[in-house]
Formats: sequence, C-alpha cells, structure tokens
Amino acid sequence: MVARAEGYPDALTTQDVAERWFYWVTTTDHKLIGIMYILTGCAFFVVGGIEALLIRIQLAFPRSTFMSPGAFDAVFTMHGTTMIFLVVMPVLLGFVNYFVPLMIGARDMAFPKLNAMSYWLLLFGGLVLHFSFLAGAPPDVGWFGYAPLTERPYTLSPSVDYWIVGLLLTTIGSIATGINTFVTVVKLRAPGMTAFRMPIFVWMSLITGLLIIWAMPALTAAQIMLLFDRYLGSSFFDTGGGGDAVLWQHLFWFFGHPEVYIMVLPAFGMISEVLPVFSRKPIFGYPFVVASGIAIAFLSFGVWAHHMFAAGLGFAADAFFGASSMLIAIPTGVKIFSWLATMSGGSLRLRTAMLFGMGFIAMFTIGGISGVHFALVPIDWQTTDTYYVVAHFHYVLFGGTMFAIFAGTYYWFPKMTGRLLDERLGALHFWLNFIGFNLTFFPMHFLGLMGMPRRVYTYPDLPGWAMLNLVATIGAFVLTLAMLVFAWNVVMSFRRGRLAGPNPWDAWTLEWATASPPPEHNFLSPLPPVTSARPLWDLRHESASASAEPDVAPTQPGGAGIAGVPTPVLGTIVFITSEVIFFGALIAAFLVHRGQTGTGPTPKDLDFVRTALFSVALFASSGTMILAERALARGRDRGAAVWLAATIGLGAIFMLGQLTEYRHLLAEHVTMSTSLFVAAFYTLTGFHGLHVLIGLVALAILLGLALAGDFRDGRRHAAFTAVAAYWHFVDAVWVVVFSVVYIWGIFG
Amino acid sequence: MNEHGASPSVWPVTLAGGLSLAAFGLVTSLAFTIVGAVITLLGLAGWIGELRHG
Repeated sequence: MVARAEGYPDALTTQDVAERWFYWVTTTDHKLIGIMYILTGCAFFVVGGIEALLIRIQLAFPRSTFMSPGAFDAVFTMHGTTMIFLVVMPVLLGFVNYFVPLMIGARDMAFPKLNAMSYWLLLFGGLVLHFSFLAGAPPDVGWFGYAPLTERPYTLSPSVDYWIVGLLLTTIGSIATGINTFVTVVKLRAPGMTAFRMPIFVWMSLITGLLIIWAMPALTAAQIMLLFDRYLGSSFFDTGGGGDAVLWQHLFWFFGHPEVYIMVLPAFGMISEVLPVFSRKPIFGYPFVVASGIAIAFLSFGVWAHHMFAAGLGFAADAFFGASSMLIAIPTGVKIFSWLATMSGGSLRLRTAMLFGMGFIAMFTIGGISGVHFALVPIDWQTTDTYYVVAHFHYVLFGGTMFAIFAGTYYWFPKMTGRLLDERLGALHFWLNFIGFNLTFFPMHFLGLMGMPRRVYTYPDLPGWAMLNLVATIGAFVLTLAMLVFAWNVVMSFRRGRLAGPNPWDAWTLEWATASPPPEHNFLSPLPPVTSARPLWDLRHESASASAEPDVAPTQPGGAGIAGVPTPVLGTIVFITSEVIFFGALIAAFLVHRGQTGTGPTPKDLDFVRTALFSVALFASSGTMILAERALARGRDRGAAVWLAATIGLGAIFMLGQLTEYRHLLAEHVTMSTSLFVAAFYTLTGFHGLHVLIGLVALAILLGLALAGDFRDGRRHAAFTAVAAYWHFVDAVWVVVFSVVYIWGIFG
Repeated sequence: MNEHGASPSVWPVTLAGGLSLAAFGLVTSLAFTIVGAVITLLGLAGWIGELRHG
C-alpha cells in the first residue's frame, strides 16, 4: 500500500479547475478521462432530468395545457436520447475507463489518445444534438426515430438531422471506446491475472465493449441511409417512395436491444463488486456469473424483433423472437440468484453502497419480470406503446442501472477522490431515491394496463388515470429531492469528507492496492501477486501468496493466442469485426431493395465485364500487400516500399474503375433518387469505395514512413501489419459486394 | 505505435473537434464542413507526427 502520491497533478482536489483547462483538454490519462465522462454524464443528467420533470408536470393532470403537443414531443424525444446516449452510457464508460486499467493492474488504456478522442467525440456529439434547441429545431420523433416520420415529407425541419449527426459522432466515439476496452483487457492484464481471475466488473466491461462494437454499426448504417433519404433523394425508409419503414425498425432494434445490455452489463459488474465486499463473501458462482454475462450478450443479438411484434411480422418470426426473448431471462435469473446467494449467510454491512446494491436486485427483478411479459406476443400486443412499457424500462434502466451506478459511486468515490461520501446523507439519498422511484414508476404499470398510451401529450379524465398520474408526478419531485441530496453529498464530501485511505472497505481487487486517488501511472509499489480473483484478500491472509509468482510491475504480457497479437493489430482486427456489421447492414438494405428498379437500370444493366477487370486489380493488391509484408519481415525495407507502391497503384486503378462507372451512370441521369435499387447500389459500392480511399491514404502514409526509414530494424512492424489487415478486409468486402451486386445481377 | 502511458496530447481533441465541425456543417453550413475537414487533416497529421517522434 502506498501513500498519496507526491507531485501528481491531483485535479480532483484542485480548487480552480478553470486554470487547468489545457491540462484537462490534452490529457490522455484514463482516470481523468473517466472523470470527464462521468461529469459530462452528470451535466446531461441535469438536462434530461429537467425534461423528465417537464413531462411529469404536463401529465400531472388530465387535459393539461402546460405544454403544446409539439413541445411535449421534443421533450420526451430529447429526454430519452439524452438519458441513453449522454447520461447512462457516458457514466458507465467513465467507470469502465477509470477502473478497468486499475483493476487489471495496468498503467492506462491500450490506446490512451484514442481514448481521449472518444470522449471528445461524445461531448461534441452531445453539444451538436443540443444545439438543436438553439436552432429552434429540437428532435421530436422519439429516441428510436421511426420512419417514415423522420423522412423529409413528414419532418421538414433539420431536427432529425441534428439527431442523426449528434448520435453519429457519439456512436463513433463509443465504438472506439469499445475497441479500446477489449484490447486493454486482453493485452494489459497484470502477470498472473488469468481470465477467470479477472474481477467481474472487468468481465462485464469486456463483454460490453464487444456489444458496443457489434451493435452500434447497425444504427450508424441506418442513420446514414436516413441522411441520404433526407438529403440525396433516396427513399430507403420512405414508404411514399417505395421504401421500407420496417427495415428501419429491424436495423434500429438490432442495435437497440443489445444497447439495453450495453447499459445493464456494466451495472451487473458494479453490483458483483459491491455485494461481495459488503457481504464479506466471494461472489457466489463466479463462472456462472461470467458465463451468464456472455450468454446475455449473444442472446441479445437474437431478440431484437420483440420490439416489433406490433408491426406484424408473421407467426414464425413472432414465435422465434418470443422464444428467444424468454431464453434471455435464464442467464439474467442466474445472476440474480448468484447475488442473493452471495449475500446469504454473509456478514452484511449495510453501508449506502450496499443499500443501493440490494435496492438494485429488487428493482431490477421487477423490471426483468415485466420484461418477460413482452416475450408473450398477445400480451405484447395489448401493452405495447402503453405506460406499461415505460414502467418496465425505467425499472430496468433506473431501478437497475442507476441504482447500480449509485452503488458503484458510493463504493468507488473514495478511490477517485480520496474521501468518503457521507453515510447519513447517503442513507437519506437512498430512501428518497427508493421511495421517489417507486412512486413515479410503479403506478405506470396500472396506467399501461388501463390502456394509457405513451408519447401522447395529454389524456382524458378516465377513472383512476388522474390519481395515478398525480402520484407519479409527486414521485418525480421526490426523486429530484433525492438527486439534490446526492449532489450536496458529493460536493460536501469532496471538500470536507473523511479521508478514505487506500482501502476503506477492506476490498479485494487491485484498484484498492494503490493510493486514493491513484498516482499518474496508477501503481507506485509493485502489484501484489495475482493468484485468485481476490488478490488483496490473498495478500492479507497469505494463504495463496506463498506459492505466488514474484512481484512484477504492471506490464504488457506477451501471452499466447489472442493476447500474443500485437496491440495495434488486435485493435484493427476488432475494428474490422465492427465494420463487418456495418457492411452487413448495407448489404441487407441492398437485398431488400434490389428488386425495386422502377424505370431505372436493373442489376443486369451494370457493367459486369469492366468492373470484373477492375476488381482483379483490387484482388491483386492483396497479393502485393502480402509481398510487402514478407519483404518487411525479411528486413528488406526498400522491397517493402516497392510492393507498397504496387498495392497503392492497383488500389488506385480499382478506384478509377469505380469512378468511371459512376460517371457513366450519372451521365445517364441515374442518381440516388432514380430507384431504390440504384440508391442501394450507390450506397453499398460508395461506402466500399470510401473504405478503399481510406486504405489508400493509410498505405500512402506507410509508404512515406518506409521511405523515411521508419520500419528499419523491426520498428513499427505492428503498424504495418495493422494497415495490411485493414486492406485485406477491404478486399474481402469487395468479394462479397461484387458477388451480391454484379455476379448475382448477371446470373441471378 | 504502442501508446501505453502516453503523455498529454492536443491532437485527439483537435481530430474530434474537426470531425464534429465537419459533421455539424452538414446540417448548418458547408463552411463549417470545410473548416472541420481542414482541422481534421491537421489533427491527423499532428497525431501521426507525434506517434513517429514520441
């Protein structure tokens, strides 16, 4: 254990943060970035919270005229969008950023600069989204942006454009964070920390990272197509132009349902850290808790259409997605039983963190049970778009995730600031929160079952509706009071709270083996040996440490298998898996619209022969790239440069071929608005072309570096391999695109 | 290329700012997009330069 680090720019205890703005703006320290994520989330929480209060004030009484219908639409849209993308995700990613490196004994994230860029993209995306208020056009189409409401004929103002652009920016940042988290956990674990010695929070962060990487590109692709509809005249989702509004729903919920678990799995991780420490018992069934997290992640990609039962998907789809949605309750139930078993027989310490942990289990279970109801198609048909749904997802995301975030905050605040939060204020916060939350959202179950529709700005004075709505509104103000108590607690404890010391809870994971707050590079002393999932417990009891590995400073293990892949290469490979989903979404849209040629060209009209010839150039470029890699591996830098130049030349020939085809089509006035087939063709091949262009730029940079001698003596080979992997991927995508677009067009 | 333990850098915020401004311009004015693109290129060049010499 070490004392508070001398000389570390301890920003959290600095009185005048304004003077240090440059330090914060340029930092790449995962801890400061984590804090910035959390503070940003808190700032947007104020905005989203005020929007929630406005909603509740409007709905407090029947036939209220407090807000106009249009204002109500904007407020509930921005409330949902803000809370999901700018509050829950940033706060959770903030905790992931701050604690994952500490918990695995690393100095920082794998890509610190990328980490900083991710944060700034999230902040700027949030600002662009909220600039819409200043522009007088806040988004008013729901957080899910259902088509065709989002299409130009129905929303002429740029409100949807702000929604698209703001979320595109935050999404790119989130995907980069997902990649960073995955690579950090795989590559930077302390010696001895095998997969099943990782803290559960690290496991859940790892799984969440993968969910982000694989779920979010579907939203990105859908939003880009929507942007094309609005600006370039296509009609992917515009039913008036022959488009398919249900396609938007498929793409959105392919992202949207895993997004629920992106917001829940880190919360599960927090609870799995808090409950054992305050029960003085190890987590019950560690492997089952981990396995159930993995199962939830995979199943989450197979349940999206349960959000769409009302769209009329047909019996087979309803049956499949109903069954898969029920399945996901099993691993979730495993976790709940594990947490209960962890507490059972334990020596419970009812500190505020534990209160929130226990509250989480109760509230999340209610939300989980109401969620299973939606797997039953007839019940879903009756309750969809009612306040029953609003009650359900708030029990999951507030009763679940927010309770867990508060548990994590009371648990980790001492590590981040060096001071303990006040326990008396904490208990007051918890009970106000618990009472206010249930007052607000429990009545919504009844309102929903009575048939009160969501997203409607007012309601008639039907029996019971007014009273239940008034209770919900009173509850919202109690919740607000709870938040004010919490804010007061944070401010006062930060200034004058009791000093925490390195390990105030006698906890067991590595973040507690360093000072509070930790020094710049996290650990000044050697790490304790990691021989189990509870290294500090082992250290104290010296049972396992007798045969432990020697103390070693945190370092990047060479590792075998995936851990042996160089960091930049691993990052690129994970990024490529994300790209696969992106192109998958574009290809899906192409397949849906392929037959809708209207009066424009058909697939058979495409220039198959010329494109095939140009494709040969692209495929050959993968060969020259391999030769470049081999030359570099043999230490022949000049040879590598020659093969690189050949790769660039072949890639450029392909690009010229594609541009030629576009020129011919445009000369015949074949544009995005000609037909859905043409729009899908331009979008799919155009995005592939954009990827080729990015690859060519990367190759040109590599060539410049090779000529400058940067790759001599084995230096930066990993960067070379990373770009090569990307280039091969771009080629592989073209194999699929060429097959689907051209070969199928000729022979299909 | 291994950025483990990297020092402070102005390029991540520059690159993010450039991209954001370029995207913002799509909704507002092409001028923002042009300025954003320039800042993006500047950020990219600075980042690569820092990787080379850092």
